[in-house]
Amino acid sequence: MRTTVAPIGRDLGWMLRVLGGLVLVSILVPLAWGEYYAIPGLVVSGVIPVTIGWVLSTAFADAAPPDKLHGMMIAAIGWLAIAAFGSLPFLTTAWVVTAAPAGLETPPPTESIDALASPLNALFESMSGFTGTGLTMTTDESTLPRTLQWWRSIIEWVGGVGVIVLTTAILARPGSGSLTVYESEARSQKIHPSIVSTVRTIWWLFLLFTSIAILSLWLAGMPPWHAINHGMTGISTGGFSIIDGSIGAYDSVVIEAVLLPIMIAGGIAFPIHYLVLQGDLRGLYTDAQTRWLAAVLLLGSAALWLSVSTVYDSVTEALRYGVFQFVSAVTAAGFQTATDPTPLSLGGWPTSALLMLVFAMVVGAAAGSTAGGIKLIRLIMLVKGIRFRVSYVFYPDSTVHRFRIDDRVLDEKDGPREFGEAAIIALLWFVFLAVSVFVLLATLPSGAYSLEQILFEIASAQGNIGLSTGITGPHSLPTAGKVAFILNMWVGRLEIIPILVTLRALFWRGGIYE
Amino acid sequence: MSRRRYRSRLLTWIVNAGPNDVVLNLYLVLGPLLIVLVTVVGRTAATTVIVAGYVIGFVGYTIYNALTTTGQPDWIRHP
Repeated sequence: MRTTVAPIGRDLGWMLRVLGGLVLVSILVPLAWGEYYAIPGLVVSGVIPVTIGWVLSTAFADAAPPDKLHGMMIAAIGWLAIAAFGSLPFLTTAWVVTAAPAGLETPPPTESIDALASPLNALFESMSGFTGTGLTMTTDESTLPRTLQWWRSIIEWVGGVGVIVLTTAILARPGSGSLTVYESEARSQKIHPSIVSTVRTIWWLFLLFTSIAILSLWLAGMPPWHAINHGMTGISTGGFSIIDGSIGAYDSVVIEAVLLPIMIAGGIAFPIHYLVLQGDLRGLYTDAQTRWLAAVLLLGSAALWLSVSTVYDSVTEALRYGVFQFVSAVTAAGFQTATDPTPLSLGGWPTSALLMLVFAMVVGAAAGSTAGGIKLIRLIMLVKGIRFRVSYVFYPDSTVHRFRIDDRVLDEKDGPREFGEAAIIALLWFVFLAVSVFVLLATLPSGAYSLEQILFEIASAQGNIGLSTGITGPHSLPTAGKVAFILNMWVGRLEIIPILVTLRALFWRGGIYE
Repeated sequence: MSRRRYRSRLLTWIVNAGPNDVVLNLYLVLGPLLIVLVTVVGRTAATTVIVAGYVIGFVGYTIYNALTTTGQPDWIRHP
């Protein structure tokens, strides 16, 4: 039993310590903005995970390196724990504002603050943030204290790359243990032979692109605070905004044009960015995922433009909203321009347009990026695998079959194995999607939303996208729906398998590793 | 850990983790400083020109780099 618990406890402890550190560093924000009433809550929210994390990492300091089972359990339990403890800043700040204790100058409570005072809503917001989803339980983000606006942005920014990637970069633990845990966080690409060097380079690239994104948005006309938050949530393809109506509220073609390359950059795998910065543009067209991403973006944007051109006043208006929403959906950014302040919100789009966006959200962008969905590499694997299986029968038995993905040639053993993995994840993805459809159909008011809207909302949650047709909200989404969405976001971020492995280990073997 | 040691570790990370390019390392360091600048000073002609130079310079340098293409390291693995 201890051989299972110890590595998980130690790594979970370190993840909580990093989370606590992140909360405590964030105290600089209320200090800078004069929101002193938020400081006690942040201190408590930081000290609790740091203390628990310190106890766990100290008690299990001598644990063996994690193997594959441990890695998956660390990722699954760790992400759930991070979301739970990450909800504390929302809860404590909301409680302080609503309680308005004497001696603390608190602002008047708003509907958004009231919503976050509910533990379930706070957990939803935290899970949505860390998984880079961007669906929110707030009704008007601009009424949130700057402290909470920052906390929403920073958790999306960290979650975009991955909590484990951050912990690995800080711990710098050599050996196979870090690789095992790294791969369990839905990552497989390496930039360097060493995993520690890889995660450090990922953070190097991410910091550079974040700065460029923030400064580009500022140049496009955003105030500094808006540019900082949207730059962070844009490059991490998270999608949280700090104003009501997301990017559509700015009604600025320039800001939308600047966000397009930022979102696309977030949807390209980090190793490709690394190659490009080294001056090797070949990575952009020799990598299958990047090629497919370009094709999906071009064809999908054009198709969506045509689909929505019937409901907008002009062709250029349809182009503006169609292209932005498709890029936002594929890259999993979830920024919305088709929203209430603009001529037409997503809820008013034709069914064909919504289903195209569902396709984009399910597919997602490149594995090894900050994007969600089942990832392009699996779509490529499925398409090529099916073609391989069909063409198989046209050749004599003595033929040696090869399955080519990029520069890799898979033999008759590896090809079906990788195809099988992609097929399993795609199948499970749709199973979880279907379960949530049933939950929402059973709990939402009858006739309030169409089936395509429900499908859209769940694909958005499970793909970690964040686009909404209006179902998600503190009052509009029933409790069962909130729980289902929290699970969808968790499952979608870790690509299902680690969670099923963890559930099997916990409920079947009682956690005993045989 | 002394401050000197900390600075040295930060510098080592910047130099070692990136794509081994002095200009890009400089970009990494300048980015946060410029964000602080525009936050403190605000939108003026000078800050606009500086930030525009930073962004355009990055794009230009990336294109320049591409014109002197290097080979693709064969140890980069794909999923």
